[in-house]
Parts: sequence; C-alpha cells; structure tokens
Amino acid sequence: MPVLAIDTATNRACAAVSDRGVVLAEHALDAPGEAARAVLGLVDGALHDAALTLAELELIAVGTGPGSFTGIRIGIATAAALAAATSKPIAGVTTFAGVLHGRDVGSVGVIDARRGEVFVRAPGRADRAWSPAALAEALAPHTVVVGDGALRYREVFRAAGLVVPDDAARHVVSAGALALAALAGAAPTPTYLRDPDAIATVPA
Amino acid sequence: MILAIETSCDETCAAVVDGTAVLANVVASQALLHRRFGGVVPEVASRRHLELVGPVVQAALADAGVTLAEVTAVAVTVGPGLIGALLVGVSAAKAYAYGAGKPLIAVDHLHGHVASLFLGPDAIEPPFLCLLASGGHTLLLDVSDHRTFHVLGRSLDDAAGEAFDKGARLLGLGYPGGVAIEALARNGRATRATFTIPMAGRDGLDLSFSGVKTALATRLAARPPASDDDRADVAAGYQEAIVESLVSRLERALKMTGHQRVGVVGGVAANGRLRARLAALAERSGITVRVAPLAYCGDNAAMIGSAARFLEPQPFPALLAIDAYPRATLKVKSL
Repeated sequence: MPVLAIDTATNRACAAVSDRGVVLAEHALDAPGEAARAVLGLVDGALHDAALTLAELELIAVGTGPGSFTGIRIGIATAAALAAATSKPIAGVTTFAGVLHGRDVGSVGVIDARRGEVFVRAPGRADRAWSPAALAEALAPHTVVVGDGALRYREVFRAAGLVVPDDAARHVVSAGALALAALAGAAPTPTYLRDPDAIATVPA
Repeated sequence: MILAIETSCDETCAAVVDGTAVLANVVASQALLHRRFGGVVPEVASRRHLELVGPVVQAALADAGVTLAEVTAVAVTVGPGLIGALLVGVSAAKAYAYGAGKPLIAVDHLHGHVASLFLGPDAIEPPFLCLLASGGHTLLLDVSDHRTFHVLGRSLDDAAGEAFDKGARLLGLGYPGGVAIEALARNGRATRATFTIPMAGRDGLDLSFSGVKTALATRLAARPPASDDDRADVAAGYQEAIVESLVSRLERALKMTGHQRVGVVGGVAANGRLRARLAALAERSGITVRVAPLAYCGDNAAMIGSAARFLEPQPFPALLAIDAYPRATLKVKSL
C-alpha cells in the first residue's frame, strides 16, 4: 500500500513515498528555516518520481519530532491538512524512527535540541533532553550514536569513547524510513519533550 | 466561495465567505489559556493552534454546509504576526489547497482588518479613512481601493490594545485587558481621575500610548485606589484618555485628508466607549462612520476571506512556495 511520509522536525525537510516495503522516492532539502516553503514541493517531487498521485495513497505519515518546535508543527499541520483534504488516514511516527531505522541494534538516536542540549532515544531509557556531556557519561563506551545532535557534538561523544559514524548520510532523518515504519504509527501527536518557556503569573 | 484561515496571534480562526456574505465564521479563542500568563505566550499559542486548526476548519465547512471540494480557493493570513503561530495556519492552508487542487490566496493580516468593512449589507466602499486599532497595531490608513492602503499615522510605541492590556495588568484585572477595563470603567467617572491625552495638540498623525501607561503606573503607586469606586474611576479615566486620543487623531486626519467616510476596525473597535464617541462624531459632523461589526473586530477569518476577494489566487505550483512573514511592510503616505 502506497504511503507518503514527511518530516520537518530537524534541519532536513524530507518527503518519501513507499509501497509494499520499498521506498520508491525520497526528496530532501537541508535548509534551516525553509521547511514551510519547501515541504509541499518535496511531497510533489516524491509523488512525481514514484509515479503516484495523492489520490492513490493509502496512508499519510508524519514525523512528530522531537526537534524544532516550529518544524514539528509545520510537518504535522501539513500532513493533517493533506490527509483531511484527500480523506486519507494519518499516522504519527517519532522522528527517532527516521533516524534509527536500519542502524545497528543498540544505536542511540541523538537529535539537536538547541540551547546546548540533545533529544535522546536510548534503549531502556525514556526519551528526553540531555546535555551532551551528561549523555556521553551515561552511555557505555563503543555505543553508536546517530542523528544531527550526534554529529554536532561528535567531539564530546568521541572523547567519551562513543562511536559517531563519519558518514553524514547516517545522521539524517530518512522520510523513507518513516514511511516504512508508519504502519505501526499512532495519532499524530507532537513529541515536544520540552515545555514552553512561560511562567504563570496567575494561578490556573 | 473562499475558505479562509487565520492563526496570526492567539485566535484559531476559519471562515467560509461568498462575496460579501459570511457563511461561517469560527473563532476558537485562546484567551483563557493565556490568562494565567498575563498575555500571549507565543509557544503556548502555536501549540494550541496546531491542536485546533483542523477542527476549526471542519467546523467552518460544516457551519457553511459546504465541502472543501466546493470552495473555489483557500485563503490564509501570511503575516504580520507571531511567526510560529502563522506557520501553523500557512502550512495547513497550503496543504488543504494542494490536497484539494485549489488555488491559495496569501492575505496580509492588516489588509484583512481593513476588509472587515467590506462584509455584510453595510459595507463601505473606498476611498475612505481607516482607524485600525488592535493589540498589535494602531494605524491611521488612507484606503484608496479594496486592496491598497497607505499609512498616514501610527503609534510610535505601544498599540492601543496593548495599552489596555498593560493597564489592566496594573489595575490587577485579567487578560484580555480591553474588556476588563471597559467593564470596570462602567462603574466609574472619568472626570474624577483624569490623564493627559496622548499626543494632544501635536502636529502630524502619529499616536503614542506608552506615556499614559506610565502615568497610570505612577498614579497607582503614589495613590493606590482606596475603594472599588476609586479603582473604577481610574479605569474610566485611563480608558477615556486612550479613546480621546484615538478620536482626536482621527478627527485631525479627517481634516487633513478631506475624507468623508471613516472605517474603524480591530479589536479596540469593540470598545463601547469608543463606539459611542464615534457615533457622536458621525452625528455632529455628518461624516459617514462605519465601525466593524463586533464579530469582525477581533481577529477572525471572515475578514481574511473578504480581503482575499481582491487578491490574485496562486495556482499550483506557485502556491507551493508561499511562506509566512512576521513583520508588516507598510507603505507610508505623507500629507
């Protein structure tokens, strides 16, 4: 069944189309701040290359984060409206799935959380924001870390004996991977992993 | 028939507009959500927009009794406003348009406020003078046609609606402040607590509201209200100073431009005292004064659909590249 997946939670905006377990086409753009302008063009390009129309899709999947709050919302708002306009079901998949799919078992997903932190998915731990130094200390040596956060803080991680692959392609979010993982997807709820910076001045 | 979406600040809005007729106008206000922060928190607003935009669009289509397939175009506010909030509406609108094979119309929020005067049976036609007073902007505009307006004067600091919000906070009232101050002022007498009218007698058409806010803070610190009556008098005096400033600058703009028609729009246009003063102005001067209907004063999508009628629809693939912008780019006209 043809699945369209999109993800704009990280600095890479991407869209892919898969069918019966095979990724047919993937379009991506590494351009911070350009997701809103770019994402539908990526969708259109991926559909064109896969020789499919929106009407032929059976599912629309979206990466729900973590990552940039604005990027998460651009992806979910786009996917939800596409699904509503075409009467298709929608599935949310964590962006970690787009980072970790096809990587070595036991790999840790590390997404840049800005402000000197990273969002982390590690086996046996709850997803949350970490400081790179604390994460480096908590993980066993030789653990493989992947994702844009792993690349950004690679010196910290390598100094602690963690493995950060050199190949940049192993650190990007793959919309194709999200499309393949989407069948197990849930409601497209944002995965912010951090509260807004707001201080209540009046009790609720 | 246009489906319009507006998410520039803290109201999630969708409307269906057919010519000057509003078939549906849904506004999901976040005021209660932001009350405990004493104002709009952009990240909180953006998160709420994402939850609400789909249901609000569905509600507007249902209220109008139409399907997405039946509308001719989708319109959306692209700016100015809170960028994270705008991007929710823009992303959704682009995907509705692309998904349904409709063109998209990118609308400026301020043009939308002006276009609230083109709705309904009492619509006024350009050219006219327009006072736009909201939480984000206070502008005197020369509206030359349905899609063209120039700034004649503007607030040099706080917007009028911002002055109400900040004043309400100083008075210990809730958010949004305009409604709270107006309610309290009803029990007070402005003459017992007078404030200097901002920009009174000054040349030009610019406005300013930070001074009167500071005067309120100073007064409350020096002489805390001794009673509820006292507090009501202060609220009434503060409201009067803001309203008097708006009306006197508007009258000055009328004299300078020679316009015979005036439109008043934006959230502050819902203020009862301002509406009464404008009615008196119309009576006294014979000038046509049209104040936006209450439903179209605060942010709403009907006004966005109204403005969209006068703009170029962007078909596929041009619509794919539409983006949001946070700041207004205003054209200024010197008299």
